[in-house]
Amino acid sequence: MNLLWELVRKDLRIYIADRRSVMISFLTPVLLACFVGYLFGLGGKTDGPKKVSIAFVDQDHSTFTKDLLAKMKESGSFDIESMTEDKAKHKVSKGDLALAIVVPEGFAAHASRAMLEHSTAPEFKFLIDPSRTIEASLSKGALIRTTMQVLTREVFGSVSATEDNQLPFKIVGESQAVQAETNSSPAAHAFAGMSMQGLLFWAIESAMTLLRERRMGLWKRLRSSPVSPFMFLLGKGISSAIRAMAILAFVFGTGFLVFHFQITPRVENYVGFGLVAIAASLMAASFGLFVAALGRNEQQSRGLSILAVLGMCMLGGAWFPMFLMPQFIQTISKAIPISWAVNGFDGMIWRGLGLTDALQSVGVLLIFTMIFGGIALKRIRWEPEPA
Amino acid sequence: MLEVVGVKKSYGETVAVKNATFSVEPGICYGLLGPNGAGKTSVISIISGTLDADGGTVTLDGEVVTTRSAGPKRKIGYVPQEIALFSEISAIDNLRFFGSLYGLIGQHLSNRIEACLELTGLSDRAKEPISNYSGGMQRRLNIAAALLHEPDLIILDEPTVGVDPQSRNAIFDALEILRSKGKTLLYTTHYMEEVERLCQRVAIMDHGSVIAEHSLAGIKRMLPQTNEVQIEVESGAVVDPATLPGSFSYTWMDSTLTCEITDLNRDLPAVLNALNDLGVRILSVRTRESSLEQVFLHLTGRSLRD
Repeated sequence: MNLLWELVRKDLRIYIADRRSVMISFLTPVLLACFVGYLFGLGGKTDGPKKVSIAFVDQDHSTFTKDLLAKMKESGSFDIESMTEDKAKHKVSKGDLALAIVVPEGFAAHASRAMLEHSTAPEFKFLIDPSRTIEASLSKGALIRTTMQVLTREVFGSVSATEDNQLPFKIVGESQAVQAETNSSPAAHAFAGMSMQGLLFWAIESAMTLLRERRMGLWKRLRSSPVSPFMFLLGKGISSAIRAMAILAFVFGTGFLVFHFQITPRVENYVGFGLVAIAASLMAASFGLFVAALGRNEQQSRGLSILAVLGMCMLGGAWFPMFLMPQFIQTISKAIPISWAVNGFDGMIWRGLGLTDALQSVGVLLIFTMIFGGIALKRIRWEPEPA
Repeated sequence: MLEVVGVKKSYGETVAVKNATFSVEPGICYGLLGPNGAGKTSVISIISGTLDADGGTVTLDGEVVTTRSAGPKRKIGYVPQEIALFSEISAIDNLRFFGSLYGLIGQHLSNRIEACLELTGLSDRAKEPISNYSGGMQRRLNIAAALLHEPDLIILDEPTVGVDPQSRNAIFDALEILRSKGKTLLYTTHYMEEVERLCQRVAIMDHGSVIAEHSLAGIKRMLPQTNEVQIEVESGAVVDPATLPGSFSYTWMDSTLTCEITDLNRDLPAVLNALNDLGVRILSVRTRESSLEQVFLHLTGRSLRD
């Protein structure tokens, strides 16, 4: 036990001794998460949400379209401007606008009939800037919801919906899973994603340190001692996991303070969040050992592992919520540890899921930990390969 | 104490050690000599338990040494060729860590750290991060880290590479103290003068094999017995070597005549008399015994530093 403690303590001392490296490992994920959270236009109370500029092409000229336009302007989410379809097309093509909504002639009448008689639905046309599909996708969702609200009021009248946001029915599946404030969930997701990205990049740096130690003959010296490879890797893994947990605590702590999201206030969610954080830290630590064990030299390993981490972040939902991804990527993400960590954090913070869901993420993350650690133990080379 | 028998090691197609056989008696300093690529470091790695041999055996006090044998490893102190230390932390923290690998704890560990720092002359800067140390000081600490657990066999793989003369002397002093305490040293180096100063017995490796193994004096006797004689004569004197006696090999450079003589008592007076008869005024006569470098050159056909 004393030996294990000494192995861990030595690594922590070395880590703390390099203050610049400590700062980078703590601040980088925070800065990235703040930036991504801000980009989603949900930056807490500091600057207010960013409005999306869209065009409104009214070819219907009905009461419905006037109400819809007024309602969208009221929402505060859009900087909306009425114009002709040609002008809207031009502006979207130039990239001045992310999205234009075209309400064709007779839309309101057709839509009302469709709601009451189940007849063919009229077409609702969107013009989208292909370079701003995420912004457009998010806006489309809000536009469809607003349209439904206005249309419902048109069809069922004020008897059913006296207040704008009190519909006579709920849209199933849209927000019922969100327990916390909906405007904080993208920021929370950004912090989960960026913290995991930060951890994996930090794991690569840890692996580079290990390879440097091997090049310097330190592994060889350790190998000449009676310490077993398992004990050596266990010490490395534990010290790395402790550092990873400290980074996670700092990143999420900053998120809680700056973006005002919080863990769903239930004991099981606090426990679940803690367990996901521990499992994610162990996974990141073992990933670092895995990279070090497979690496021939620092340069080669750094390049390959950066590529691997970027791929995992992209496919694992660290950058964008998975619902924005095609179905096949959502399927692939099940095989990527980062997606389980991000889903675990999301579940405990804003999805309002329970401990059982967290344990599922924890279990999968621990399996990844064992796979990475097992390969590292089997493949570790104590000396650089001879030239 | 240490028996190395028929050790072999290959890396893929490259054969690093073909056949290494030698034994080291307790309490001596044993030199392992060879040029770069001779296989010394592979042999050292196998003896220190950091690498497994493909064939042959290494035993220490009767116990087989492998990468998994913890028992013999406790008796070995290994000083790698590289400065294998954590530069970010202090000398004390480094030594505390390396001592703990051998199960040292508490006051005993503190005492051993103090003793090793004193032996290597680093006590006064023990709390500094070693990144502040000179190369020579780091080399000394590299040795100290291998001595904490009081090993019986200390393996030193080129421990003086790139150090200043002051640190080199400090290292030699420390090694001589260790030998006087009965420790066994296995020492590899490029520097012949280090072997001549420290070692009682020598093995010469080349192309992965031990090609000679003997006492230091015995190794030197392997060279055909000749003595190099340098005779400095008065400036301006011209000597035709053909006029000199015997079938010795003569070389003439500036005002110095150099010749290889087998028997000093028999042949040197004849040469000096011949010079005297030619009217050449002799300023000085110097003789030199065969050096280890010459022996090495004779056995391998190449210089140690090749």
